[in-house]
Amino acid sequence: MSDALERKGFTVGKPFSYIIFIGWALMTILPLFWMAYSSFKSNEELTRNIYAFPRDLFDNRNDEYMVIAPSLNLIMPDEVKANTADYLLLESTTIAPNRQLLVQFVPKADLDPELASRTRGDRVVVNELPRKYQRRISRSTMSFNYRSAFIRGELPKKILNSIIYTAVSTFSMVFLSLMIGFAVSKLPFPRLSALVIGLIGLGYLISTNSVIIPLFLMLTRVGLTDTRIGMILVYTAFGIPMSTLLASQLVK
Amino acid sequence: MAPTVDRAGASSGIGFADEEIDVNLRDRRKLGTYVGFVLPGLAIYLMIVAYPIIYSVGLSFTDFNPNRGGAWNFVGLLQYRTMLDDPMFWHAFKNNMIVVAVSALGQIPIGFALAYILYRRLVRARSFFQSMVFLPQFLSPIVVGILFRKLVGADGPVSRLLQITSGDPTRQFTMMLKAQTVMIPIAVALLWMYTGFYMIIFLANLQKIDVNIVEAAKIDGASEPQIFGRVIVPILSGTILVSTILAIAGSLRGFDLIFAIATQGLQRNNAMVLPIFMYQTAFQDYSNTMRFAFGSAISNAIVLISVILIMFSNTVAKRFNAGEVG
Repeated sequence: MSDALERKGFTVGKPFSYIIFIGWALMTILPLFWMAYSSFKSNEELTRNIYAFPRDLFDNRNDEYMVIAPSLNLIMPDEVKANTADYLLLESTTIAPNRQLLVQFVPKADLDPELASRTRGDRVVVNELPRKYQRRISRSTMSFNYRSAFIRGELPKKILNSIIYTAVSTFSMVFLSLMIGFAVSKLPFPRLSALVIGLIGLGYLISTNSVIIPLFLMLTRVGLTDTRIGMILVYTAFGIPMSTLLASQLVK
Repeated sequence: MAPTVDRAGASSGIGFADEEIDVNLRDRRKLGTYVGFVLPGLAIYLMIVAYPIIYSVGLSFTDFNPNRGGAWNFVGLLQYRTMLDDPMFWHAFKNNMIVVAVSALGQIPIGFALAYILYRRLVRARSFFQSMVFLPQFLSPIVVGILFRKLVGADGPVSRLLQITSGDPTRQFTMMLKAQTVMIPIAVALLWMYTGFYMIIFLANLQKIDVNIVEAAKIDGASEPQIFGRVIVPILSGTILVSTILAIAGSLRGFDLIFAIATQGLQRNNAMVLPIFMYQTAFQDYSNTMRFAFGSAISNAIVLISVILIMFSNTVAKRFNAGEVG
């Protein structure tokens, strides 16, 4: 099989083909690689040098922190929120300073009296702290961007939503269109089936954004905007044409 | 003997009548089953896909006012006339035609060329290269859009690359900032994202071609360009047509990628395509009391344009094929 298709010996096409494909592969890999390693950089670092490999978040043994007072913008774990006075709230002075993004919580009970007595505005260097907290701070600094996405960006909630939409709408789409597919290809009503298939076939031409305005008005009227059921209904309905086609061919 | 015959005769007579009733009953029961099977799916489909189409056409002939609780009057073709008088519509139309051209004349020929190179084994590590070209398909258009927005942004990697290569630290990548050139980076993003899809389609169909045909052409002394132009392309003309139709339909409804690449404001207005124009009119222009009716008119125009373009490419393909045969 390969003999007939393969071109023997040197042809002009070969180096040319390599150039095209290697170029294309680089065009795919490099942006994705850049995006991947940039996710481990702090914002300041990204602005300073857009190509440099991440360093700030990993070289964090001697990072300087500042004691801050609790504020509305600060997201605290529950046990810290319950008794804020027992914790030292430390904010990084080098990574996203003054924005309450990279903040560490250290219980005062575990610290030397001198350290525990530092107040708002005082500086603390990471290696002054007990070993245990040094390690914890180091880890949480490295994963700073990902932790922000999870905590501040509420990623778990969004992932859960995606899973619900995908699972429920795929299941109901497949279930409903298998039912239609079975009825259309196994039960003896050819004329009715032709009508049903024709009606559903029109759906291939329709994209979501060509009916988005009436859909929005309808869903608003029945109170289904901003609800999961509304989303699932729309996803299911727009999946039905394609999956009915496949289902009726499968059942036949 | 006799009673048996009698009974048989009697029972057959009754049985016949029974059967007729039976058939009717069974049919009716089957119809019940049929309706029970078809109705749930069909009802959802009709409610959410079919009915809004009619609603949208109806809406575009009114002055539906959402600010007054949906009061409306019939206004005839007013929305369509406003649309045709709007310079933004024509700008979006022009950009959309650029996107269609990039898809139909860029993605498809390039995808075909790449597939042909892989098919003729001009490179090694074919599955690696194949997956590299196909990889962007696995990303969501929003992710690709944001990635490209960062790449071509004023302080992005592309600007930096220009600064390094030209040695001028004030140099910027300005294509995204000008109305005349904004579609160029977007076209690159479209090619980057979607070419792999067509490459896979073409490659799958190329591999279905009987190798003996190519071999026979070689034995008959056909040169490489002849094999390509006279053997491969005619066999695949159907696939090319279907891909073209897919590309046209896809690029007319393409919204997410461009929406994510261009930042809101002047840049997005420069890069405006019809679906974005529709979205901005209907959902962001709150001062326009006819925003939903006007938006419906635009979305109907999109459907109309895509039907016309698909019919056009069908006719062109037919004429082309007729020429080949003649």
